[in-house]
Amino acid sequence: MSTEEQIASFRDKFDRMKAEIGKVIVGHDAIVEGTLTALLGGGNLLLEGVPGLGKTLLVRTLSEVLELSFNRIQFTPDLMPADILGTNLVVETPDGRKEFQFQRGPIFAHLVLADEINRATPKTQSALLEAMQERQVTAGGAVRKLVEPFFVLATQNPIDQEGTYPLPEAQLDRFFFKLLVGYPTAEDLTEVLNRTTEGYKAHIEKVIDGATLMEMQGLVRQVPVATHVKDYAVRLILATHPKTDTAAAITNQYLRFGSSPRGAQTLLLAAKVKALTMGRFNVSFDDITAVIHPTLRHRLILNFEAEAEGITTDHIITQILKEVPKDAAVAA
Amino acid sequence: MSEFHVIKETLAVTARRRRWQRGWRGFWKGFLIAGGVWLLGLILYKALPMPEPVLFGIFFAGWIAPIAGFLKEFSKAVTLNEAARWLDQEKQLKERLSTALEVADSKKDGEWQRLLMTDAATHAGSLDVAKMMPFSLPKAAKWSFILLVITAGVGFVPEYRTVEYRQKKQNEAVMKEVGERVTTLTKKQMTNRPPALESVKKALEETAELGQQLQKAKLTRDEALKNIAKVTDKVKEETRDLMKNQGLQRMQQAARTSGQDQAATPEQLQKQIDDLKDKLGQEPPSTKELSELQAQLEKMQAAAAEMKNQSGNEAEASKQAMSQALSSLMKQAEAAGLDSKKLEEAMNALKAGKTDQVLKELNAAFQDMEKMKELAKALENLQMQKEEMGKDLAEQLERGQVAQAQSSLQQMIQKLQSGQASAEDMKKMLQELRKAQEPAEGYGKASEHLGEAVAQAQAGNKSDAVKELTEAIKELQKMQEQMGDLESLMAALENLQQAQQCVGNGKCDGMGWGMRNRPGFGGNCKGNEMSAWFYHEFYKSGGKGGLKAGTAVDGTWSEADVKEPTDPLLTTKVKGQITPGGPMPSITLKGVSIRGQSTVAFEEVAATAQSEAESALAQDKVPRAYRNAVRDYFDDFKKKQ
Repeated sequence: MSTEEQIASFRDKFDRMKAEIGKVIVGHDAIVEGTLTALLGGGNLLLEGVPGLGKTLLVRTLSEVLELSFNRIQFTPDLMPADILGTNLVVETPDGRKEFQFQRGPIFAHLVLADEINRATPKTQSALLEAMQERQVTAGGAVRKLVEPFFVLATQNPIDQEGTYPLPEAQLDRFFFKLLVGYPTAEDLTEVLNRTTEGYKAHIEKVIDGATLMEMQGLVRQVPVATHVKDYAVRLILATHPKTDTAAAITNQYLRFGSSPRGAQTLLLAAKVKALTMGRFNVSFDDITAVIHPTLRHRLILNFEAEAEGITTDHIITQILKEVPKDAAVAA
Repeated sequence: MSEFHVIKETLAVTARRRRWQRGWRGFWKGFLIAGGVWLLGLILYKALPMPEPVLFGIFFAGWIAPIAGFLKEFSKAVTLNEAARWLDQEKQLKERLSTALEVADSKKDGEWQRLLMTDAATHAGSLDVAKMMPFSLPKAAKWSFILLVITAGVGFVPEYRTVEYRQKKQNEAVMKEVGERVTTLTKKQMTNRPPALESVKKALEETAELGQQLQKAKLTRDEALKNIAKVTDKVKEETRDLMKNQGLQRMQQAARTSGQDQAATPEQLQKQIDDLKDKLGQEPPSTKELSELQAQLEKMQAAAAEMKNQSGNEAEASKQAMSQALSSLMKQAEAAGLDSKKLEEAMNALKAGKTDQVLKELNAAFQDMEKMKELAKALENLQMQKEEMGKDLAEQLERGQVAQAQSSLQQMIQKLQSGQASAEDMKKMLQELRKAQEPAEGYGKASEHLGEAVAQAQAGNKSDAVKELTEAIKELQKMQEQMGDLESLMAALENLQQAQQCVGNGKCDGMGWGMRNRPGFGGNCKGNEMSAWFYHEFYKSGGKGGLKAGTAVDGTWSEADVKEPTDPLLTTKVKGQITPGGPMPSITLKGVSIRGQSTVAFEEVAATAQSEAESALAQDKVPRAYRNAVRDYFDDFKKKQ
């Protein structure tokens, strides 16, 4: 298949996946698009929203659209790392000897739904760190590779909800996107009621398998990015670093920590996905600005002043976008 | 055409156009800056005492900004990459062109490169760069025009200048003018009559230098006045030294009392008189007679002019009266030896009733009389001068008539050389020479030479006597040269006096400047204060010039002098306007404010007061009786300083 055909196929599959998810999920187009972007970018996803907005349903539907193995972990305060990764159990061999045998945890799947991730303690949450970044786990003194492709799709309630633990910064940084699931509109809510109270049964078809997904991920990485567009991404990231020469004014005022290099990688990958989905063969400035909020909103750590004033990371990102010129040379 | 070529072509056109546009915008930005600079400069000029050259400098410097703006922007070459990025942004091409350009140069996957090129070329091909980038006036141009309009408006606002500044500028202008005049006049004086004495030359050079110094207008008013006073003192000193010479005193007196050419010999004068008599007749009418006839003529002219408006009996009566008056006038004119042809024609025209013709003829007659009057006046002057001439060598020397004395000596030499002098002539000559010895004492070694000439002549050595007389002539020549030096010094003094008045008063209105080309002429000076000073000084120095104390001499020729010639050596009493014993009115000095505790330097007040006093003296504002008192007062000041 030629590159042009691959790109056409990519767009087609993307649209079909959207359509299939749309059979179940009403509205939330931006959330669905974001979810698929994270998936094609090869990253993990964090969905945040109050209970009952369809976060879990979205992930479950996605698992149905993809021909991939799927495990769900319900995070609770008493959940232990071993419950996620697995543990060594003493088992009797046929010859009567007793030996330790590793019992795999739910992490060993293509698609892992970490439901209400912030209800577990930070210690348990940390069990995901290695898996999320390096696609492997260390348990019982042995390193075990996870299957490819591997995704963690986590949902969480807002931090100020009762019985929740804030996610460690290191873990937050391992999420490709953080999507905020909002309330449905009147139209969407009406549609939800129609579907859920009148015996509606959606038939979801598998759109792609793991291999295809990996091909698509590979295609994403081939999308060319012009130097000045990369430079824009870099300048945006540098603008989030407080107490540096490149920091934006608002950064110095409200941020404790800025984005890591992982944020820059994510930004560019997400922009590439965006470009492909838009039918273009190159990344534009607009692609970067379109994906910057979900990419950076969980990577920027607010200081006390921001918390006190109710400033959100989204507000800071918007301000940084205003301050940093897209093309410095043209602007000059 | 390949896709890449299409892209490149579009970008090249864009780059070129963008470069020109940048230059265009740079020009207008520069123009805006220039407008701002001009406006600011003009405001500063209007508000502050800024010299005009600075304003012009700002105006010309302002033009650098638009040119520099254009060059600065145009010199920056626009690369294809810049053009691509600009087009991407301008036309919302989502970085297609810039990425395609970059990818074209890289070793990217061929398939991707092709896709990018096709996509970019499609978009680039649809662009009309010329239409997209028109050459229109940028915002800066609009603001520039607004600034220019404001600047033009400010141009009509009158400049704010303080009184002190205006005074300073006026002083500078006056100094410049004064300096120019002093320099020019002094140099001209030196060129026309090179000084014979080295000290006089130095004094005149110093005067010219002072003029140049003033011309530069770098001095303050007080400094200028001090320098003028310093040079004036030097010139006065030089003049005093010269005036110690008795011969020069006599020559000066002679020059002043006759206003005529002192160099003329008796023969030349007689020739001039004879020439005039040829024109006027052997018994010419006096100026008085001619003035009376002119007065009658004027009455007739008025009557003739009135006749034009009369008619009937009244006109007839006027005609009769005029006829009688005209015939009477004709008789008087004939009696005075005047040509009455024009009057006869007027009579004929009157008889013919041609009033206009009468008036025309009367006017012509009046003009003829005016010419006659001038000739008569000149004749009277020459006759008067001839009468004043010494009859012999002694008298000529006594009266300071050096040219005539030289002429007399020359005649003696000719007699001696011709050998045709009789014993009687020789006796007369020797007698004349002996008599002239005493008055010749003031003329250098002339007296000695005359004595020697007498001795040689008595001894029969005529050739030696001739030599001695020739030497005496040379001595007199030297005296004439020194007289020229004195005249030059006097002229310099007058110029310095004028300069002092101008600088002191801060204006030169009505001031007379000039040169002494002939002895006795005050160079168009009002009141000829210098002459007065000269005699005053001379009197004080104890010289014997036949002057009485308190005499002020007016050396100008006024109408009064012509009509009623007065002896300038007589004291004239003028009724003063200051009540003796009355309160002294306060004096306000120009440029010096004295109120309460004065902070003004004494020298400044003295210089200003002196300048005003001299100005008042020059303009005859001070009664003659008080003039010396005023001068003494300021002389005492100088001694104290």
